[in-house]
Amino acid sequence: MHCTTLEKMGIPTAPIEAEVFAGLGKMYAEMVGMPNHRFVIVPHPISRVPASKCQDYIKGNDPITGKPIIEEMVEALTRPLTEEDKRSGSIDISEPRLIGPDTEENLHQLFMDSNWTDYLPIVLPTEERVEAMLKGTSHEPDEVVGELRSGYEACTFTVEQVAANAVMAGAKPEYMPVILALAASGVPAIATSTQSFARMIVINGPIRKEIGMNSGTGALSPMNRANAVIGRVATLISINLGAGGIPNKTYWGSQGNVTNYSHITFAENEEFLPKGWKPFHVQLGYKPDESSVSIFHGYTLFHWKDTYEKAKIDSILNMAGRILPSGAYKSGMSLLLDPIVANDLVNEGFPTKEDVSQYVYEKTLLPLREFWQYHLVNGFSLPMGQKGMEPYATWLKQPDDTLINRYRSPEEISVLVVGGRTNDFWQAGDFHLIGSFPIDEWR
Amino acid sequence: MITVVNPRGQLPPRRLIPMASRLDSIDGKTIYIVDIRWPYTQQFTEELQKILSERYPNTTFIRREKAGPYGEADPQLWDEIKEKGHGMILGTGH
Repeated sequence: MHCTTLEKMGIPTAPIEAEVFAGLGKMYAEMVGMPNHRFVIVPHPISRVPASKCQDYIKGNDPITGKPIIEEMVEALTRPLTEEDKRSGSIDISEPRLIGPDTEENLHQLFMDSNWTDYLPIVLPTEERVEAMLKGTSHEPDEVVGELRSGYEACTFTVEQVAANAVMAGAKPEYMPVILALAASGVPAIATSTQSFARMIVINGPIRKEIGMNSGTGALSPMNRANAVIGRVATLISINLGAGGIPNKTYWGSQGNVTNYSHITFAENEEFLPKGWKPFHVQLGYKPDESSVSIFHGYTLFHWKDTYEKAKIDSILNMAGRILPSGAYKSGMSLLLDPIVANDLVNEGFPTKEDVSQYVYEKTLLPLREFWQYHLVNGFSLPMGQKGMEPYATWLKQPDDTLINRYRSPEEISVLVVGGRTNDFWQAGDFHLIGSFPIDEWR
Repeated sequence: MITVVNPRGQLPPRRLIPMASRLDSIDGKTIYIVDIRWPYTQQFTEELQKILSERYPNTTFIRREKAGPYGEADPQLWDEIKEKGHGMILGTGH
């Protein structure tokens, strides 16, 4: 994108791209309207390789074209433009509303071949099924819900298109308000990043019970239709309404994340919250009789058996001390506590969720020398500090043994209660709240 | 035979933008080598500057590290290149 900016300013450019990303630049160039950017491909990886290896790369050949890399760079800046390179205007890429008619078998194959599924069996979104799904909301089928960008461009989409994805995932019509709230959030469940992240999706309020979500035993397992399907839809709408999810094209997660099948999707067990502990959405300012879907960014969950302390809060501190500092780019911690654990914490002197978060915030410190070593800190926080952004700019001036809070604020530590009271089990994850979105307006 | 609702959202129309005119040659020109600052890759653009300067002694190669994280624009640097440069080589991640 930087090269496109410079080209627009009249400066010819030679963008260098690592071999593994050869398709990415081309796709991005098409998206920004300059499809013939002159990429020079170099061997991969570049990160942490010694200078001598870099010299070999630079003096060697482009692994795709076989031409000398240096000559390609110069040629990118000097080879005269073709008529194609000088083109302006626009190309229409409108999507048709309907697909077919065709046989069911052919349509299933089309959906698979076009990367419109998660490769588990789907229900084909016939007009009749979509119409039935639309009975789950009062909104008109052609109403534009919003925009979603899972790949490199944001798509706009309608209520009907959301319903088509809900059909594909196996939803019931009554799930539609939750699914529409997810879609309207503008937060894709999967994205282009090389980092293989996932989402945690937490439902609060009366709709949990209305649609039969599980907040008790096995809530995080594939043992409840609403939990499973809502999480699955999050991925399908990212693929189909966010134009993402195609490996080496619009998805670059090196290993991927198995959690993407249905993410970590559950309802909070509001009925078994200890006295004084508020439901998560109420902590965020919703009324208890309102429903919301909260979306978190993260990678994985860790469990209490990795700790050894007798007091629950000490186990939690142990775990909290291992998670990526939230001084880095997009990070934080979520605690998923069985109701037994929540009550244990009350007995240990934490009458509210906020008290737990505050305590963890205050007790998890780390020296700057350790902070600056984290990869994401080096890539994001350090350059922000060098540009003068606080608190990083101040931290850059302080001694390496200065202690800072691992989490930016107590609000970076989310406390959620889920589970069926069969074990004093708890988990923690590097899940950081992105936002909480109202459901009721989509009824 | 059945008809289904297209589950795909609508992408915006594709725009086409002309590329910048190319240089006759790099001889006597100033070419910026801009490092996007992906973690632990700076040695690549450092070596690139050395090798290009040796290979093309009549060209000035200026290496700059872009301010901010890799995806963020650096308008000040772009203006500098527009004012003082004739071309840009940009690299690279991972």
